Amino acid sequence: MARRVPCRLARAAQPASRETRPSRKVPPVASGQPEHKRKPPKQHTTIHGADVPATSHRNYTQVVCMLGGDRRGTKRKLTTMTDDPDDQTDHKTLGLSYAAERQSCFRISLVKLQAAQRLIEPSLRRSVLICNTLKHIEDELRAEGELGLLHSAYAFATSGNTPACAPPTPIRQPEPMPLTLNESAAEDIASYIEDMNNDSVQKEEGRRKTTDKLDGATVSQSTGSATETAKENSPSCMTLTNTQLRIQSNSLGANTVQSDSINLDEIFSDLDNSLYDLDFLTPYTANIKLTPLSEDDVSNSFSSASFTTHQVTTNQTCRQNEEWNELDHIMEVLVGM
Amino acid sequence: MAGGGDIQWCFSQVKGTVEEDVTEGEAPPHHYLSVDPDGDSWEYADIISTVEFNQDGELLATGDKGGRVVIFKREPESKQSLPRRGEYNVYSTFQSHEPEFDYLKSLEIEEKINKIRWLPRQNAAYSLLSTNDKTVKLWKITERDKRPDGFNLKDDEGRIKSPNDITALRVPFFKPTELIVEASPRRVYANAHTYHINSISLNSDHETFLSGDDLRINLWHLEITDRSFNIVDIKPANMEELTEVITAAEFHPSMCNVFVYSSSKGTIRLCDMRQRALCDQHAKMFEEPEDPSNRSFFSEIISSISDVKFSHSGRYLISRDYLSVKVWDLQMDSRPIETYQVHEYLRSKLCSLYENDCIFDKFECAWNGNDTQIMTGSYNNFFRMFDRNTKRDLTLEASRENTKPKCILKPRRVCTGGKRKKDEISVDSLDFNKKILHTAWHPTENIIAVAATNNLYIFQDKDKV
Repeated sequence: MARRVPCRLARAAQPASRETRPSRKVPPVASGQPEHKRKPPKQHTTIHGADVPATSHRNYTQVVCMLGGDRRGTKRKLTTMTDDPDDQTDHKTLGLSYAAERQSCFRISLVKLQAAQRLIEPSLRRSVLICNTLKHIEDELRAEGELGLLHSAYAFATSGNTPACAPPTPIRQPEPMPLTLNESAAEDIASYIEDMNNDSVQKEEGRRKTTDKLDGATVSQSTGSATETAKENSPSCMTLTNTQLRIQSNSLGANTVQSDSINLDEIFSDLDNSLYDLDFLTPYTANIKLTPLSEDDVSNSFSSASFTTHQVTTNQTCRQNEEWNELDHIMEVLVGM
Repeated sequence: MAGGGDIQWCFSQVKGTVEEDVTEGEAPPHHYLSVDPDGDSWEYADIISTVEFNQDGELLATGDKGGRVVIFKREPESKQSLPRRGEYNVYSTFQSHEPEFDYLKSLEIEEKINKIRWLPRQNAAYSLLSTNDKTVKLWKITERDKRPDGFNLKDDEGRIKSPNDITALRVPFFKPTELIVEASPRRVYANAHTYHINSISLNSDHETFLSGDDLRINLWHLEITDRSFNIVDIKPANMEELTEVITAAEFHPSMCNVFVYSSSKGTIRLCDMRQRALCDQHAKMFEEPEDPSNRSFFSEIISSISDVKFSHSGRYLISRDYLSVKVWDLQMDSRPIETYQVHEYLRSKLCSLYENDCIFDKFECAWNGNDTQIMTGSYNNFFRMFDRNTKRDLTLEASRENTKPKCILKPRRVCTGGKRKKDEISVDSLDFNKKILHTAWHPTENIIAVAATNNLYIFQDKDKV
């Protein structure tokens, strides 16, 4: 049997191990170390009164950074109260409107359901509870007529993927309904996109797989073991680019999209770029491949929406470059008005 | 000072791997999977997943995520030793379940022990049922403290003697040896559950037991392993319509035809097996109407019942949902007769708890021997006791700070807002990774076993020590 790792070494390796530490849902001991399960249980010992602080902070890895926080690379506490100990209430409910809270809850639920398949079957109870929460929010949104929020959130989340509910319990797919994209929805999408960017710099396996899962169906699934930042960033950016393109193309009622290249004339002709603040995309423009939209993706998404927009005079720029795989080209197109 | 019925709880023992100061040149015989900021080191497999006293309280069984069962036995009382009441020491350890792989679904079946239930003792051996997600096993634990000796044909080392060397005959006898405890699997009840088993419960007839998973409950006979009866099935024809799962199930302690099961929607259904074979129709349903002022997106999730336990008398049952424990009278199904808030201060944090998945934690609850007190766990290694008669509650912490023998536990308080008093802990300082999900109360005495991640704490009533 392999020699046990001495305590010292485990402690010295602490920084690294913390980063690779499994998320809260701790997976079983890796299969490469089966002997740990076989060995006889440890002798119980009486403790020697080690000094352990009574209140210790636990850092959590968050799946979605709620309010676009600037906590890249750091683990979050339960609340965002570390800087303001006097403020006791939860940021998530303080000052947020009911609709905003509902929307964030909605987003979180979708993300949770689409967490990557793990080796262990996900809990049916958990999946059912999350699904029910989603349905409840969906019903509320329907009743209030806020369908735009519903569809914008569903668009990039459910494209082509069966959500990872315990099989076989998929999310109820929304029927195509008229989309009314308003400012709040746009902000919502922008903040979600920012969240995705923040998340992508963190090296948590669960999140990486989440972002992978959120890719459109046309994106080939990454093999999952990539740890480089660039790779982690690209799926999320492709996702968000997907989103923007989908909404934009939908706004124009574009019916045909060529499979290999995007006709930006149609897509961007009605775009009002004032709705989008795209500056946060600039760090990720290098080596980003733009996902081509397939016809199905667009036609299965929304019907025509109404945008109060003006013409995007990008025709010349668009036609100059056949190859629209560069995100910065899109940036120029959108911003260079 | 003490709130829980004037019992003063004091520390008795703690079991589990411990972070010891390592001296140069010596490595402790532990293997660490992770080291957290506190310096606590433990393996995932050591996390205790169930705790159960047997019927007379002499044995305490724990199951962990590594599929092992550890049984502690109480030492006989001795007037000389301190504490006077016997300690629980390791009696037996065995690997109950192994990890398996479901090839059809390409999924691993965890070996984590979900539940242990003791069988009443019928002879010198002890028996218990242990289950993981898919398979229930009946284990028999036997002692051996004698061995035969004085054979004619074998010498002391067991080698066959040559017949020519035998000059006289003797009668073999039993020689006392050191105690050997052996556990052997007697029955394996397998392949009856598509979903994850969350409950097993022995019937009062001592012949049958039920095993419940997310959607179905099966009835077994202890002797028969290749067949079981399905007595509850809530699986919809179309899985897309699934909105509710079974979370816990238990037989009535004296009525062998009655059992209850709880659901993720906050309902408890009582079923009578005499009515029909398939108990999809409940005889009674216990559900409290929702309080409209507390409505939120998470109302359903926090109403999901994580544990249900009959009282010893069989007259009441308690249900644990995320924020409270409710006492129900079996004869009144409209609302609970008592409700105790476990950690109401978390109600405003539900969104965060949803994000980090803590809202899905399944806490258990326990009665004391005479059904006057209830215990359940919380976060930050806190656990709560409620006295039904005095209506007082008590919060205690299972931590290594209070581990001097007979050290009385100090009640803890959580500060919910405003100025934090001395010795109070603010909600934001709570450690949500340190949760007490599994607790057990001795059937007759005031001894409690509390599982805190990988450590097992045993606390006793000070007066008895």
